[in-house]
Amino acid sequence: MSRRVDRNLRTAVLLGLVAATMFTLSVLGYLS
Amino acid sequence: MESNVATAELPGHGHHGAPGGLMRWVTTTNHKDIGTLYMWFAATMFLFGGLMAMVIRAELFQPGLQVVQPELFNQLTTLHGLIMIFGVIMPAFTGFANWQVPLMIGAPDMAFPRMNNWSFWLLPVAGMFLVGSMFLPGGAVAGGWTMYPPLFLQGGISYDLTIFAIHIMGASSIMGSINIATTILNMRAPGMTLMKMPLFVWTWLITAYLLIAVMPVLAGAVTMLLTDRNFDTHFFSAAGGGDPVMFQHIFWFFGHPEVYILILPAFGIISTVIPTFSRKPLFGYASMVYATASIAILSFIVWGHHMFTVGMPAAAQLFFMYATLLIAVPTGVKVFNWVATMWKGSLTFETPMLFAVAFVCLFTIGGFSGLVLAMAPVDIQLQDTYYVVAHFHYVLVTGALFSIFAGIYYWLPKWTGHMYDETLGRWHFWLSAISVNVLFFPMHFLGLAGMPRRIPDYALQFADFNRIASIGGFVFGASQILLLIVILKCIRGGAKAEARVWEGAQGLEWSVASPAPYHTFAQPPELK
Repeated sequence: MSRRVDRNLRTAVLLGLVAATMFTLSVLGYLS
Repeated sequence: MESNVATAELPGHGHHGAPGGLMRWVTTTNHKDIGTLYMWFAATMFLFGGLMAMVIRAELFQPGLQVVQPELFNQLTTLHGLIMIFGVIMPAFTGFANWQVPLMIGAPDMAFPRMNNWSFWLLPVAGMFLVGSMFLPGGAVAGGWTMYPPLFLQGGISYDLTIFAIHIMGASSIMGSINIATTILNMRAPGMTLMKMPLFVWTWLITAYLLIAVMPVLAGAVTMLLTDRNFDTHFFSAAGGGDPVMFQHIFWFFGHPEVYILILPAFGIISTVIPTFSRKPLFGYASMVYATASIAILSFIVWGHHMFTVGMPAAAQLFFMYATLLIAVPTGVKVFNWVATMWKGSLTFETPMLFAVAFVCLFTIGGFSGLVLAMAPVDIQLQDTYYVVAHFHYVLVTGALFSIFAGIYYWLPKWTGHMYDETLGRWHFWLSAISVNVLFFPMHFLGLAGMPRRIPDYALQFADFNRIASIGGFVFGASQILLLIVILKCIRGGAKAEARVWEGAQGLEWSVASPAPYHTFAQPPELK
């Protein structure tokens, strides 16, 4: 696999984490 | 070159054209195929959402109940909104992104081609759930596309199905936007720095960030609706200590950035079309990028302007009012730049340019009525009237939809290899541009006179303007058949399109043949 594929995965995981954080905040922020 | 390895090392890749048969479309990982699928999906949903609008306008043609009962009318307005936003405008822009972003940045495909396939194929399932929910006991959701509790907590099975559909569309959007952002960030041709990217790519990068930030918030909101409905939670149920207004806050924290998700790619298309037919580079490229980013950032702090009447403190109303008015500044920069691009240009008015010029004029009307509504004291009068309906239809129809029309006419020769029928295209434009104003402009007067939105019947004094609007609506609906004819004719044949279809067109997508070969930029292009 090329280094670029790794880089793409890393970017996608980071962006996915942002999405997961926003979901958690919208639900948990209200639970607290 | 490192960037070729991924494509070249896969067996069989780079040596074949499009496979045949139905399975080509089911299993495709090709960004052009997937872009085409998105466009046809949007067209199909446009038919459903458009037919619903025709029934709505038929019912509103005169006072009293003629065509549908109030229950069905409410389902039609709700589904019309959900379908047009999530099933038409968003998929159409994603279709443009799939087709054009790799071509414009010189990438061989999207960063995650298989995820791209999945992102698309989730959509027809969600679309079927939405449209099919009409046939469930109790009918489809009827409380408006905003899904406000407590009404939304009280409906039947179709409400759960709609929540499921929104979850699926949200997952599709998040995957799609991660794919687009990753492609733009990592796969640009060597030498294409961020500030050398075409503006359409820039607007989509910013849109992708917005989507990643707010679609999960919508997912959170509807998940809480789901648990309130089925698992005895009380997030939004006042009876159990919950707060229905909290739903509105969460929903509009998603909803306002969503508005810019629906319009930023439109800005990108218009910023591509106008320079081409002005035969000049875009005026103020850097300011366009910064204006787009400013609009995106501001969109996160204005959600309260949708809720001026819920009983918020005056200080909060003032904050949301001023923050909203501030958005006029970067938007004004954009309109100025489009006009300045045309200034002293060698203008020609082919169909894409006609739609682009109409966009600049008519979207600005929608922007101005937005400023009127942004003022809290005015909004308290106009909240839930037809003035709001007029405002967002100017923004979304003569804004987003007209940019989609402009983009279709602009890139159709690149996609099909044939020129479209210019005469029919102009007929489509003029019929649409005139009828859309007959349809939506009287709604301003109706709203100012106090006609509430989302009602199937109305007082007699609203009859004349409603009749005019309905006539405009029927003509606008019928003229879209012309677009379908133009597209089908263009796919079947027509004058051969050159690689650089438009004399003034700039960008990498015009350096490949028309139609664009199944695989492009296996070797990264050299930037001059």
